[in-house]
Amino acid sequence: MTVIHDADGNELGSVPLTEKQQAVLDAGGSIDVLYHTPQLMRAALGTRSGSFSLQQDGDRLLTSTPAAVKDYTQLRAAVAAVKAREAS
Amino acid sequence: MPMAKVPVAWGEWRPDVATLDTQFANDVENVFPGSNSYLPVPSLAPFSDAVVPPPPSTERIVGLFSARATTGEWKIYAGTPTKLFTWTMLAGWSELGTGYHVPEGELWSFAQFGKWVVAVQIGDLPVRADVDGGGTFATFGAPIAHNVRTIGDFLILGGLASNRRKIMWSAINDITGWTIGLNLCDEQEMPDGGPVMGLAGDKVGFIVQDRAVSLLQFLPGDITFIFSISKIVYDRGSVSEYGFTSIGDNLYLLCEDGFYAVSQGNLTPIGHEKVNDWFLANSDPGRRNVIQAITAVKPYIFWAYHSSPGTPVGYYDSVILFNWTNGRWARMKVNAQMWATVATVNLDLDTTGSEPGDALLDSTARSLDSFAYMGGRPRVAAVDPAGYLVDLTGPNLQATLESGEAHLSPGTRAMVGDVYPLADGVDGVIYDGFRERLQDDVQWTQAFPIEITGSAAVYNSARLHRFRHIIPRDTKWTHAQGVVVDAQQDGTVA
Repeated sequence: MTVIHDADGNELGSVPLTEKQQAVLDAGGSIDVLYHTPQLMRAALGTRSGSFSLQQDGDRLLTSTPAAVKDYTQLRAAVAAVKAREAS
Repeated sequence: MPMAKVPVAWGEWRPDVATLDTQFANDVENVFPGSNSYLPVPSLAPFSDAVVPPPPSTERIVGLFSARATTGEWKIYAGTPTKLFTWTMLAGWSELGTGYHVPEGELWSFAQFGKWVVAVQIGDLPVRADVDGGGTFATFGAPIAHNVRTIGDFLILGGLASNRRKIMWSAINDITGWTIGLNLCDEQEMPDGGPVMGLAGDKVGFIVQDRAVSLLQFLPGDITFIFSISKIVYDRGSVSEYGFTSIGDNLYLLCEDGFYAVSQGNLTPIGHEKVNDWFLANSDPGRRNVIQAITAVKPYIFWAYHSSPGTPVGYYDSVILFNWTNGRWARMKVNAQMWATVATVNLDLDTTGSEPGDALLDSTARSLDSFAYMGGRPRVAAVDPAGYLVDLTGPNLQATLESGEAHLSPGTRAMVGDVYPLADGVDGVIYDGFRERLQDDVQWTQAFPIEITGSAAVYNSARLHRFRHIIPRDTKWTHAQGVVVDAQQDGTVA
């Protein structure tokens, strides 16, 4: 998991990066992250989707679309809650 | 009644239908089915001096695959229940991974995604190796599953360990992305239809289950649904995780009751009243779960199987093959641990290289038409029971062709004189199977050699006749169409 910050340095959330994405960031490029409600959880969570872009700035991962990152973070928390409910 | 020349064609092999006085053949072994003839099947010839697994291991081979490097070079991979290997002409077999646990009754499932070759089986986490750069197999974050397929820009796993009715696909264009909900990675559970046996196709993908087949089509630009999944076959599926294959947008599969094709959403029986009943009676029901389908380079599909419960563990002893251009079948008796369509780099013909068998052209163990010299040409290949990489380029196998039974002189007995085989390989022998009544058992004459006249002097009288032509191994021939029989009325049955 890599922590994402906004331009002011505020922590917005975190995202798991793949080695391919990390390589692009390490090379100074930016990546677009797509997110959506997992299909098997749509009944519980509704249908949400979006995207945000990320860029490495020193040791920080920055986004220029903080609202989308927050939306993704909320979705992730909801997914985790559903999984926890299913597991219990 | 004068002697008549009666043509008896081998005809289409349809052992499931009555063949009396029809154009259908009773049996065809070790031949390819052409439109109006049968063609020879070459034997398996080694194109490698190295065995897999390298001694002292005696494990059997449960996976064989060929992948292509970015440069276009082909690489061959094989797996045992515990190890993965790659083969090169120079080095032979090299171990690329160990410590795996392929369960009994399961095989490795391979796929290539870009520069990665991916190996999957239900006993361990999926692993990948770099086709371009070499290196060993390593895990890459994918969950345990039964099988794998590349469809479009996704690596798709079928029959997850957590739920065999589920498939899961990677992030788009990124096989290390396995977080559901990120970069289009997701999973789908089939509500019914049984375990997912695997995936096939590409632009039009197929989810093949135990009792259903669904279409899988990517929806570009749709972040919400990603794939459209629609069930098209409701009550049939593949009996084996490895028993189906796709050619273009067509799926060919072995179901519980026989062979089918799925094309444009329609299920078409391709073995009904042809070979289904024969196959079910002549294959080991206990090992149908590992029947292997291979798409050949020519328009043939091979299904490798065990002919009986007595077939030794460790290799397939039979192949039933289907010509998908003309809908005809034939069969082969060939032993192989594992089949695949593979290709390799070529061994050059100079005598200065360091390749094994290449130092002295006149002493090489390989013939000059060996597959080893034909790099980049995919072929149906196998690992034989001894562990050698082999392909169908050896001398022709012994072929057997047997006609349907015929009343050559309706209402009376027929005296058969010379039998003239319509095959350009004149070697071989002819047998006459005969009986007076349908209620009798068929008796076979001795083998009559084909003489300098091109005919076999059979000289046998009976009401019913059938003919068998055996073309010996190593005979060079191209087509066998049937026989022309000298037949003459020979009185009534007293």
